Amino acid sequence: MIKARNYTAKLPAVAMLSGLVALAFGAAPAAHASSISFNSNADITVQACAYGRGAAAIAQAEAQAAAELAAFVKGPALLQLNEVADSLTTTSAAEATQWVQSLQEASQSGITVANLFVQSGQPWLQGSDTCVSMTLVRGTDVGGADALDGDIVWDDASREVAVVVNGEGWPNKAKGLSAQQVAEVDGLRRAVSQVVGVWLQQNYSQYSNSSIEQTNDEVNESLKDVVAQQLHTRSNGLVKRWQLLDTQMLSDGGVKLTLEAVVEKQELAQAAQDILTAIGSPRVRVMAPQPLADHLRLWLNQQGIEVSENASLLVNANADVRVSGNSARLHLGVQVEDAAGNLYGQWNNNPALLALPNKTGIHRDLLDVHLSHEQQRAALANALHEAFTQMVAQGGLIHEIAIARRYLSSTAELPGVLQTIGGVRDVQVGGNEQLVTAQLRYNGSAAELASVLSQVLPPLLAAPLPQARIDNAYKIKFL
Amino acid sequence: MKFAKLAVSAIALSVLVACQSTAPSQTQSTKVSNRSSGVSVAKAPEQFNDSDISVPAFFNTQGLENCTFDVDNEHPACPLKKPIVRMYFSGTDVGGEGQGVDALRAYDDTQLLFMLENQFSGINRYRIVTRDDAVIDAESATVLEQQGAAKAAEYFSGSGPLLPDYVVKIDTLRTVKNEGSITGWMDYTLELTAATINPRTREIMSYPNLGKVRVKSEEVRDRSELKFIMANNRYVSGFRYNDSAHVNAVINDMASRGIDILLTRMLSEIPASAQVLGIKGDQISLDRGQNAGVLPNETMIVFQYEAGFVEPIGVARVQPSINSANGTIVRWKNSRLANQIERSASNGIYRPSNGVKIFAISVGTPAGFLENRT
Repeated sequence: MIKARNYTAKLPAVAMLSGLVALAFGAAPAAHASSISFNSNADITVQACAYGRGAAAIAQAEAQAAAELAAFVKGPALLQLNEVADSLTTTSAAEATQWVQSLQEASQSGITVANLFVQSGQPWLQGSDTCVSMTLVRGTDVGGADALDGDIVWDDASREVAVVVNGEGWPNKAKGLSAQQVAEVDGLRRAVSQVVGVWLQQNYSQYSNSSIEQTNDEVNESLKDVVAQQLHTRSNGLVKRWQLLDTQMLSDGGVKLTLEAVVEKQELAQAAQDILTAIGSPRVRVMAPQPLADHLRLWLNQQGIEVSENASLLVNANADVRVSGNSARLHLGVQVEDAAGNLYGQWNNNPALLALPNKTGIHRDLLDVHLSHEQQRAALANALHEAFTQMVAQGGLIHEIAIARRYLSSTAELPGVLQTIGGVRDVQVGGNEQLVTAQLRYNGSAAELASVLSQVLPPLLAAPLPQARIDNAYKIKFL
Repeated sequence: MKFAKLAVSAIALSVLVACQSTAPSQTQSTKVSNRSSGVSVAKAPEQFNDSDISVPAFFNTQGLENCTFDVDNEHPACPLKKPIVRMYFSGTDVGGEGQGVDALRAYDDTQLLFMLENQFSGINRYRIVTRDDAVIDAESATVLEQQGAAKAAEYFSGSGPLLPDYVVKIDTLRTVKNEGSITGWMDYTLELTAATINPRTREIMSYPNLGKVRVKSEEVRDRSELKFIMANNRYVSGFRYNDSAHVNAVINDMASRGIDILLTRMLSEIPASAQVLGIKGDQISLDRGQNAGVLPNETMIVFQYEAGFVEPIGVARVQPSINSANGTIVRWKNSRLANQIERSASNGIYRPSNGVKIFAISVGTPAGFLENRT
């Protein structure tokens, strides 16, 4: 039974391959061709064997057969074709000669004979060898090189980028928005998201050392969504202008718009960088017993994550050496949470990686190995990255604001005013007789938030606010 | 009339008697043996008579078509796929009280387990996950000490320990009795049974069935070595039956012998099978070798398999290489088929074709295996 398969053989590789084969004769595995000839149809058939069994041996035998085929075409093929010309039954000798000559010319041009279509037969066993037969069917043409796909390039020279997007919307009675308005917002959000995607694809590598390892062609969709979402909530100024290209009515009163939006690249890049910094290299506080704490601090620093005693984002870790018989194994757990106790992510090591004979101080040895282990390091970095992304996606860290009641003329409007701040979410207001407290999520630093507060609070004040005091990077106090 | 009734009754009675007398006899009474277990090994091919050349049980004619030849990712239908097992010794308890019982109870089978692992791994029927944690841990510590944490982490970052398909459990039953009065001797008996258990379903597999192995102390120690002298019901001299170290030495030898017997039974229960690729003269070429558990000097029956029927061709001595084997047919079966194949092979290479397949199957533990490997 013959099965067809596409096999790529390159003539320039023959010399190198032959050299490898010659070297391989000194040591297993080795491949060797047994015979090569024209059949009555002027197809070229070769049989080759390689020591061993399975896919590796088959691949080696096929490679050897391909090399033999290529060498044959380049060398004695024409001569041998003349010798068997009389025995050809399904084609004329002249036609076959012309085909072989075209193959030879291609190979002698010094470029490649690529994408040769060969038929590879069912492998068979011969002693310790696995053998294959390969047939270069008469008339097979020399293929060409594949064209490269064009890449989208982020051109730093231009200040703006225009994108065409669709936006869909249905009337939102709760917010008093028409279908057209909702569709416009949706379209502009998609425009920002699309540009963010391109920007990430072109620029992400510079952040990869501080968060997760990622290649340019594999942009993390969830990361793109998070950044786009945050950009949209924090700034409406990224889309400089836009125009409506088309309108289609949808069922249930919906509308689909096609927009051309012009996005200001520099602002978007700066804002996206800020968010990536929050995701990729936030400040964290390490809570762990020694020596794990030192190990973890050092490792986080190496990952570009700043460790500070005042950070409000906590990396809690615990290490537990469990002994079975006389074998000690390390169980390591890391959680990322904020000061309010919200858990954003966690990671556990693989304790089965290593067991050592139990003795005093064995946890240090185990820690060394586990934190040196590439896959575990990558898994930990990934878990931290996901936790930081989760934290940003939820609207940033919880911040706590405390204002002495005497500075406020009214507290009823405070939640509404706080919610008008760009990037603020989940506002909760409470307090006692002396203090008004508010908890909210904000995707920025406490200092930045304090500055914004001093700008938005004056309409509610009975007396000028004092200078804000910031505790542990998340509590803002006006006392 | 009365005579007629009597006649009918007599006929009926005679029919009944006749029925009773012609009941089929398919079983026979036999005694349950409590003798020591013996060892059964293959004869050398030269010792085979023509009638000896027959196909043994448990032959497996599966071909290699399904094999990936990747030991860690082998197809379930591949005949080279070996179950991964972890081995246990069980049944360490010794009941009762009496002379020498406490010492027998103190028997530690840890080292015996490692011996069992080593011996069973050599016959290549299973892939064995060792339970020798101490050695692995010590090696890990040495790697860490000599190579540093980064290299050690890289070194240990492979696929991790194998996950067993089955648990092989050896149960031991140990008994002791002493005979004599002033001068007595200890008489130990060890019984071994092996179970292959699926740990997920708790099913004990019916195959391989290694039966029960019984070993008596008289097979490993001369009776005089186990003699002791008592006076006033107290030990005076001779074999120290109360000293666990001395008792362990005897039990270890008995267990070692028991493991050897288990090995030979395993080789009969799971014989090595291979497909014959070709026959040239008396030489045969097999499609698998060490990878299928073929042992050196293996005595194998060569047979043709066609449409579910087997026909023996000859007996061969086979020597394996890593993934193939070569052998010599020492004696051809006196049959028309064997003569025909022998004639074809004498003129060149005979290759089975047209749906006919020729296989070779080992007949048990190779002759000389016990001398060389145990």
